[in-house]
Amino acid sequence: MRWRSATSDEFLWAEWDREFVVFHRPSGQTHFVNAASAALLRDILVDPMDALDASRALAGQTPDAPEPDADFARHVFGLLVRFEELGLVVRVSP
Amino acid sequence: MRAQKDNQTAQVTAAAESPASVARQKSRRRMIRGAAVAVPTILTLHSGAALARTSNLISRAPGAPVDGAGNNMCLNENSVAEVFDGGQRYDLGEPISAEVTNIPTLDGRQFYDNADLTGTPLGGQEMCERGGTFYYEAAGPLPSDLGAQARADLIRQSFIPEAVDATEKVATGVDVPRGGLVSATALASFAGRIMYRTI
Repeated sequence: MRWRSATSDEFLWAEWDREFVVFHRPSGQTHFVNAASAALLRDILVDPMDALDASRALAGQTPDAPEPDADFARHVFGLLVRFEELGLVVRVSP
Repeated sequence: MRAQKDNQTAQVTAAAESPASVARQKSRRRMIRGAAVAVPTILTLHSGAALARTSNLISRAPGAPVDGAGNNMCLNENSVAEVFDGGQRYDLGEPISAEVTNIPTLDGRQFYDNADLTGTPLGGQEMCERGGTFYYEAAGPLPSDLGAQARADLIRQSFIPEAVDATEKVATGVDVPRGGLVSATALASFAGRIMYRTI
């Protein structure tokens, strides 16, 4: 199961010291996200990716990220499902 | 019954303060602190979402706001999906369709509603609300920009002023579609979906 971010023009970003607020135009919702979630939405999920690859990419990007073990990948999976529910990512056919 | 309840409360308190519990709390605090740094998280804020979900509305701005370059931003009412309240609000539709005319306020041009450039100059707000063709005085060409015949005419005029009215102004017309001024802040929420033109 792979996801990619919604197109960048659907987002409006504001950043304060590695904390982010993103307004998602199609839904009209505003979300507070930390740096790791922002990295997922803005950089990592530009290319379609499954949860395991996304967690690896996230660990590679963030110096203090935990090792991408199974728990971390499960957390990322749950988050991607939540992102999809919010319309921030779209599921890509295999 | 009351004694039993008090006893339960005491047990809960004791459990909360036991060394094992304190350790668990510290561990949890570490995990939460770590999560704030590294584990991706999201918190959804709900205020103001309902209106934005159902439409792409933008309101006419009070006064005559300018953008960072000093332009009044005139939203063309014929470019939007629907006009409400006599032009106080606009629905940009889905997908968004809107055209904004930037009316410069800092470049020194004065705009008139006639090609003779007479009367009182108009501000961006009035131009936007009236719509139509507006005129400003075009800068005259430099002699070096002219051909030989035109240069000769210019020299002749300078010696025989009555030959041509040297005070005649050259007017240039620009079109401003009718609409309402909107703020740069309001337009920012539709970034990338508005067509801009500058006069």
